[in-house]
Amino acid sequence: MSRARVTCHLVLVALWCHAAPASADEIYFASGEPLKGLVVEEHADRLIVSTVDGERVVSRQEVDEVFFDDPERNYLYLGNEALAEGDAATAIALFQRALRLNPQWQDAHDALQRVEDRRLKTTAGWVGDDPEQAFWTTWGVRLAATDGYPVVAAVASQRAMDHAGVRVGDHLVAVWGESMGFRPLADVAERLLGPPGTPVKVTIQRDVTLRAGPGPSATWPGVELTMAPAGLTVSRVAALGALAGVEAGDLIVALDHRPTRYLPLAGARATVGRARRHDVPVRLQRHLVIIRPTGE
Amino acid sequence: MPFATWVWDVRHVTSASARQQILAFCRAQRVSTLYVAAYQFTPAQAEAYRAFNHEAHRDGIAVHALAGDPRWALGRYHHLPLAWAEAVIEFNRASGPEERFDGLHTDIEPYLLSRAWSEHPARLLGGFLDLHAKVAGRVGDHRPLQLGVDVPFWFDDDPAYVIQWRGRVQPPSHHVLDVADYVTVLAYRNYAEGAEGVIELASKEVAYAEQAGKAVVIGQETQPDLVPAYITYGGTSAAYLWAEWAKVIRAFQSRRSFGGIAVHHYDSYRELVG
Repeated sequence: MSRARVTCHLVLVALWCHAAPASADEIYFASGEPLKGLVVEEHADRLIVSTVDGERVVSRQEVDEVFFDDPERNYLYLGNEALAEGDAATAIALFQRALRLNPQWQDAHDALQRVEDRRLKTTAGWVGDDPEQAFWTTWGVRLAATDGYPVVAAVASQRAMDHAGVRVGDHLVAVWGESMGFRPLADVAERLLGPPGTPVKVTIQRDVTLRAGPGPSATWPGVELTMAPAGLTVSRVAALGALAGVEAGDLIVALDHRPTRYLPLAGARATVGRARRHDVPVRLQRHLVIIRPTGE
Repeated sequence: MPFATWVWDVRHVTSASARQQILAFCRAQRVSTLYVAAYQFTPAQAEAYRAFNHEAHRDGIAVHALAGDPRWALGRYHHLPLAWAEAVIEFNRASGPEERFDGLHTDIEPYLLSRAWSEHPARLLGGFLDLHAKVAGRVGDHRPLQLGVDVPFWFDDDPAYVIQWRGRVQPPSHHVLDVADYVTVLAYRNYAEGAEGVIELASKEVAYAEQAGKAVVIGQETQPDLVPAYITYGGTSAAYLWAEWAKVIRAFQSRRSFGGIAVHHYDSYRELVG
C-alpha cells in the first residue's frame, strides 16, 4: 500500500459524504463501464473495491484495466500482469518504474524479490509434482482451504514455520506481497516451496485478544498505535500487549470485529481503550521472512 | 549546452529543504530543464509545484510536468492522459506566470504492455501517435507551453520500422517529432562512439528534427545495477560519463535541432556525480 493510501481512503469517504470523489481508482470493465472507488484488496481472481455504495467484489475476468490513483501502483499492477503472462523482464522494468516514483515502497521491493524468487526456482530446476505433499514433507505444515486466505491446519514442531512463530489457526495472507487469498492450496504451497536455504517473505494473519482490565502495575493498554503508510500499525508494545501476542510492526486489520481500513487513528485508539472494560478482539497481520528448510 | 533530468519522486519538490537541494544540484551540474513527475494536483501538491516552479524559474530552470502510463497508448483510455493534460493547463491557468509549468512531458512506453505490444504493435503505436496529436492540439492553444515525448532510440533504428499515420509512412519517432515540440530519445548506452554508441543511436532523430524544425534531447541512463550493464553509466565514474558526453556534444553541437542531454534520473545522477 503506498504512502498516501490510508489518508486517501479516509479522505475519499469524507468526499463522498459531500460530492462526487475528486480522485479515486478507476476500474474499467470489459464492457467499457467504469467503476470509481478504492481497490482495497487485490487477489488472483478478484478485487475488493470500496465504493460509495460499500465494498464490492469484482471478478478479474470482468475487468479490462485498473487505473490506480497512485501512479506507482499502476506500474506494480502492470508488472504483475506481465509476470502472469510469463514476461519477467518486462515485469522487472515495470516494478523498477514503481520504485523510481516511490523508492521506499515495500510492495514494489517485494515484487522484485518475487521475480528473483521465481528465477532462483527456475535456475535450481525446482519442480514440485505434488506441492501440497512436498510442503508437508519439507516444511511440516498442512494448509486447509477457507473462503478467503488458507489456514494453517498443522505445524510440525521444530521446523521452519514453527521456529518463525507460525501457529495452527494462522491464515496465510501473502507470499512476497502477492495475495494467497482465493487460490488453490497447491498454488499456495508452490509459492512457498523453493530451494532450501533461500528466503521467502510470508504474511500471516492472526486473531488475538486484548484482555479486559489491567493489572495495577502494568502499562495499560499495552499497545501503541500509529497510522503508517501500510495502515494501522503497532508502534510499541508493553507487557499486556505482549501477553496478547501483539508485536511492534504488526498491522492491525480489524479491531473489535470492525475492519480498520475505515477507522481513523483516534477511533482505533478509542476502541483499544475500551479494553479496560471488556476484551477487544484484534486481527493482525505480520510479515515473516522464513528460510526455506531442507526437510531433514 | 543544456542539460535536463527526470525527477520521478515528488518528495523532491514537496519540502523546502528538498527543493533547495535539487536546485543547488541543478546549478552545480548546469541542469536547465527538469521533467518533474506531476500526476496529481491536490491543493497541497499544487501549492508545492507552484513553490518549486517559482524557485526553479528564479534560477533559470524550466520545469515540465512529467507523467505517463503504457496504457495511455490505448485509444479507449485516451481520456485519461487528456484529463491529465487538461489538469496541467488548468494548474497553469490558476497560477502566476512564474509558478507555471513550461511544458508537458510524457513517458508512456507502450512497449511495456508486453502481450498487447507483441500482438498489436501497430495499434498501440497508432494510439500513441493519435494521443500526442490530441495533446499537441491542447498545448498549441496555450503557448508558450511545450510538449515533449520520451521515445526509445529503436523507434527509427531499423529502416523497415515504419508506420503509416496521417498519410505518411515513416518511423514512429519522426511522426512524434511532427506533432510534438521535442522528443527525448532514450539512447541508453554508456559509450558515445562506435557501433550502437549514443551518437549513432540518436543521429537519425537529430537529422529528422533538423528538417522538421523541432528539437531532440538525448536521454542517458545513470541508474546502477541495470541489465545489460552497457545501457547505464551507473557503476562508472563522473569523469568517464563527462568524457563520453563531451563526445556526444561535439558530434551534435552544430545541429540546430540538438537540444542537449537529459539524464535519467535525478536520484541516480546525483549519486553518481556526487
